Amino acid sequence: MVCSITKVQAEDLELKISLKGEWKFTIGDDPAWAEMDYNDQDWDEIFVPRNWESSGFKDYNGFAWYRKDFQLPDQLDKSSLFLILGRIDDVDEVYLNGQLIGASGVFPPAVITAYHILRKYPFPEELLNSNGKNVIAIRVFDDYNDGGICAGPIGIYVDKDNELLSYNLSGYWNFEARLNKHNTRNNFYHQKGSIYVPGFWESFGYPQFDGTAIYSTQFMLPSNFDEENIMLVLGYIDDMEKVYLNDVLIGTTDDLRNKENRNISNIHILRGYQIPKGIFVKGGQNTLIVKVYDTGGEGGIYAGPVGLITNENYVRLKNKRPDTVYDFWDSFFRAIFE
Amino acid sequence: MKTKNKYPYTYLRHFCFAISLFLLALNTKAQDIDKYADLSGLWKFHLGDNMQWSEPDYDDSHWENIKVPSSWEAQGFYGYNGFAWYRTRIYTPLNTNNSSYYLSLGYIDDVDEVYINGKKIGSSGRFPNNYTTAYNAHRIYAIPNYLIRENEPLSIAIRVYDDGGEGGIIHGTVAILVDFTAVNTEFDLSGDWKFRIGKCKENPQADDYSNWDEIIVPGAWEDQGYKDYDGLACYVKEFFLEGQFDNKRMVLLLGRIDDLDMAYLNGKLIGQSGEFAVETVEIRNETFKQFRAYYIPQDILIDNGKNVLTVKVYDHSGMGGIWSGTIGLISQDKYIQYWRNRIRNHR
Repeated sequence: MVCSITKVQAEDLELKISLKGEWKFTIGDDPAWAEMDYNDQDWDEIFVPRNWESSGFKDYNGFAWYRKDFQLPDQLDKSSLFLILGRIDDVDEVYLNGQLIGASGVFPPAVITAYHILRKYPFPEELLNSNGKNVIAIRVFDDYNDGGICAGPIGIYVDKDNELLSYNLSGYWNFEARLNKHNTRNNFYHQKGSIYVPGFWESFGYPQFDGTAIYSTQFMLPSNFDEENIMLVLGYIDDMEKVYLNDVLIGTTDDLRNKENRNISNIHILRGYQIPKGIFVKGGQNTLIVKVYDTGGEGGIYAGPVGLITNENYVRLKNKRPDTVYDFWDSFFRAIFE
Repeated sequence: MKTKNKYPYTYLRHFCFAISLFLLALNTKAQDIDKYADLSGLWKFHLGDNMQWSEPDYDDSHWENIKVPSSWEAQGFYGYNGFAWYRTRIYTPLNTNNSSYYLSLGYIDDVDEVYINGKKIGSSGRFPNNYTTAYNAHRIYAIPNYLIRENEPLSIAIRVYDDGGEGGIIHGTVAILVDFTAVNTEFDLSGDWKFRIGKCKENPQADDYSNWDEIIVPGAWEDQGYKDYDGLACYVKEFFLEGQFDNKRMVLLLGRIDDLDMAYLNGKLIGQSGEFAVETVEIRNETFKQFRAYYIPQDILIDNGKNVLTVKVYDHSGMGGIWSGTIGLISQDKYIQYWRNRIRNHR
């Protein structure tokens, strides 16, 4: 594949640690290379991001591994960190201190590329070493042409938008993909039936899946929870959804259509849902279900923030990111069908 | 899939392909492939046909001398059509640890069969009674490493058949070429394979392939009796290991394949270059130049016993098959070392 940089969703991500620069690199494949204390001293050094053909590995296709260690600054809040690895051509598996934290595409023999997906993986706090070395190890497979971690932002980021939330719902959700005869590939890696939100489901075990999937999560609210002035934000979704809170349908993508976003494609509308009174369970467990329908390409609740938010903060969030992306074909079809 | 009717200029396309192959070998890959020993000059020559003339020890001192390359008509054999043999010996030492040599013979009119140290290493066109010419194919044959012996000259014998007009090794590069990208395998799989056109099973049994044709790998099938064939084909190679790799991680090298391939080891798919479809060939427009190297998942290779390697190939048009490059097994450690050296040499 030829590396390409497509539009990155304009999330308010703040770079905490840049990982651009020299990484340890070798061709080949061995699970031992994921281990934190593997000795990679005699590996080559390679610049990231850049396709490996440009670093001398001309005509090389196949497996390769990248490794890099880093330290965390003392004062860093480790609760909502992301690892962004730009574009990887074609397939990858990412390990933090020996534990798998994300994967995109399918390894051989039946390769499915994910070269077009921006790699954004959660950085679980419990896996990080606060006072010492942390190691990222990346297993990459290149099917043909350009290969490797080739372009885009590379580093550890924090999602600033999460600061606006009253209750952050990002994390591992239950997930059920409605697999049909065209969608039989399912090599879920983290834990069967769970997925990290937000992120494309292609990056979390469902490469090439199109169709309907059901996301669900549960959260507790205190008995003194003030439901006045609170709404639900679901970030950005590819393509359409129906949202149920405690078994009550609270909205669909179509409900979000208004004058100001009529010319914007579904995937670029910020999802903000008002919640009718009396639906929240105070002092108990709430169940949120999001049925997502994806017509093709990448799919899922793919970008944040995801959680409960005050009306004022939602306006702030919306103003930070005006829905200005104009999709000609989307508006064209909309005009015909309306 | 015959594309003949779809493309009325098949002949022209083949000609263009032969030219582009030649350019690929000598120009675009100039840094990778180089002339090692020039073989143009006087060779031994005899009219007629006798399979004993392929033997390295055959005494050809009484044969005529002939200039190569040149048509034999221009060398005093005017009007002769039929069989003739060429012989020469190469005294330039070849590195026995380096399976990277090719014998380039330029253009031969019409059919040839090449022997090195008495062993057939390749052929182009078909001899009578199934005569087909290959006069427009540029001959480049891989020299199997096991035929090279230290301090011994390499005997080359070429059986040629000319159907009419000019005959012999007519023009083009006559030389030993060295391919700097070649890999020193630890287990050579080049040479005779079983072959047939059409579909086959992923795990064919000996009964299935025992009566298939023999084909030399690497080498385009157009040059080995399947002129103008496009579509599906199957290659099978049996090989025996004797515990020499001791459960190491191994890589299978399959050279360059025109256009697409699926490789099965003992019935399990271990690598492929995309789905067999015209679209794949269009998307992967340089697939025929891509080196195939498949990392073998552990527990598939039988480290002590018989293995069966099956390669399905789909050729969209023009030349087809496992046509050049290194064919064999190498341990992952050695393969990593190979790439390091290669990069060091290129920097």
